[in-house]
Amino acid sequence: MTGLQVRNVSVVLGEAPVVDGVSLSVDEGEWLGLIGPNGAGKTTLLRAITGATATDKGEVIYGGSNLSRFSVRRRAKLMAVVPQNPVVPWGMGVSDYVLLGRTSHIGWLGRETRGDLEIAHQSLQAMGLEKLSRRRLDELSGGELQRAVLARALAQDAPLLILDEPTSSLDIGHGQQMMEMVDRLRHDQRLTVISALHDLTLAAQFCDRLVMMSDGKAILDGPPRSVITEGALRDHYGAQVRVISGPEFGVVVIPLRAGNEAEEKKMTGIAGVL
Amino acid sequence: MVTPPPALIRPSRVGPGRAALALGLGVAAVSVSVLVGPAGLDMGAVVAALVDRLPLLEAESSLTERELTILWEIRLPRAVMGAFVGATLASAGAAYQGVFRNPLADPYLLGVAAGAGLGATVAILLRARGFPSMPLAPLAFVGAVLGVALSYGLSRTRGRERRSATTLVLAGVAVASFLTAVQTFLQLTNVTTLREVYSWILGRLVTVGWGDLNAVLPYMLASWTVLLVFRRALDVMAVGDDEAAALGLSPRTIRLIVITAATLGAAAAVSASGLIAFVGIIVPHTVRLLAGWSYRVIIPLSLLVGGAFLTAADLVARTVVSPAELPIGVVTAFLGGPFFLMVLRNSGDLE
Repeated sequence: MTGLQVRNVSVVLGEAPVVDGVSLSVDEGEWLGLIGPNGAGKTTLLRAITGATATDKGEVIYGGSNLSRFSVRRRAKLMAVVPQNPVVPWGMGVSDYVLLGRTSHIGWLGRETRGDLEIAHQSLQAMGLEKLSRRRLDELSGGELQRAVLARALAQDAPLLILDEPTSSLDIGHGQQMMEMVDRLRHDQRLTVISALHDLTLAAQFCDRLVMMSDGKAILDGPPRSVITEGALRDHYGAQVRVISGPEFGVVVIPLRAGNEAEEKKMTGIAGVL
Repeated sequence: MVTPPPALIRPSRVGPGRAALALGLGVAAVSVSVLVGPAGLDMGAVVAALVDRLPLLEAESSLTERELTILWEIRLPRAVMGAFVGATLASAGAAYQGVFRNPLADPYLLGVAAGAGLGATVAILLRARGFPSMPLAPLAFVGAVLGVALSYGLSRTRGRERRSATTLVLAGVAVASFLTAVQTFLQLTNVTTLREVYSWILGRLVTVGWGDLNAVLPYMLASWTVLLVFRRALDVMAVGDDEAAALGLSPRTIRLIVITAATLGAAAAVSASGLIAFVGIIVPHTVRLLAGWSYRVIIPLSLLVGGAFLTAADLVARTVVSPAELPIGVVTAFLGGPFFLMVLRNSGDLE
């Protein structure tokens, strides 16, 4: 069996289940987006998948094997993680940071080979970081830092890429660039991508499939158009929105101002035109 | 055809220049330390005697038999012990700072000092109570290792999910307070030994001979070896437990190995020389400020600079109030106190 399967996974932190019996699967080469309101359990589910958090029930299967039996090193060769708030070590240089991605390929007693340096070099280039390679990580802007983290993940040379809200700290332009880069990598390197995403419009643009979580459960699973609906966003986000979809731009989510009926009418008008 | 190595990626290394400089400092400190002392040996004659010992070289030295004994059995072992203790404490400090990602961590963090202090106090009490030949160093060593084992064991009683580096540090604080309380109690019920206990706690290299050095050398060498091997892993630990695990290193395993190695070294050092404070903070931080963040550089340079630093501190300790001596721990604390404050002020940058 190919791809990744999450089978009935629950994670209990304290008393309450944060992830509650979630099952989903990701095919090889697919980009799956996890959406859902704050506190829905997206990050915890990603942590359960990467092994950072132990599951209380259920299992995560990749290529037919249970991931909980994998060593930390073997898991790192399988999946690269881009955390939501990466730790920025004091004084570390960008190229050293990217080289950390090779950790799982270097033995405890060994040191990096020319091949490792070569791959780290290519990862830097793929992220357009050549000019920043000598800079210190703590001197980078938010967008540059995200690219460095992605370069490190790329250097890990793992078939699965896990991203936790990669655009949450970026402006609209940098957020878009980030998603474009992930998309390009995914095609060039044949990666399977799972990402939690905050921005629903971006999620709909780039993901093949979305899973919406609410209260720890996966409640909707399907192509973006079937998951991002006005009803679902009202019921699970408590949001008043218009969702517009069109063949040339995918799905657009527009938040409405409460009580502004004129505005609402105008939006409906636009939707009608489209 | 051989392609040139990728120019953009150059892993952190100790360059030959820095290595030579640090090694030079160490050799210089040991040399000066051997040349200077209250016996007032003629410096030229000392140099001649040292050169004479080198293979293939011969030199006529005017030192008497007694003076030669002072040189070979007192001054040289003391200088070498100072260098080895300094190297061990400095590298152990760097290692603790790496695994705890805390710039203020030092080799005494997890109860090494309190455990060794208790062990030494027990040894001194037993000597006063009819066991005059009770050896101090092994008891101090056992106390130090027990202190850390207790801290580690205590931190493991917490649920697996909630166990972290902070848990371990807090357990260390609790264990240290407890062991210190026991030690103070024992000490106060036996006031006659107070002076001896205090002189040990303040640290000294006075009674050192080759025998003392040989007893602790294996532990120190083992500690250095492990820390040098794991210096790349310490760099990975800099990104935190979660990310280190995602990159393929088990942070708990690394922490256990590095703490064990650093503790064995520190325990050996304190058992030979008493509690010499601040070396594990001053040296790694100075190296860090001058040579950067990477433990690939910090660990080897801390070994060399630590050796030079403590030998120099010992030189100060035995010359400023000559012919009397200051405890060496007083000298390092005198330098270390203000330094500690400086690190505390700047530690915002280091976290």
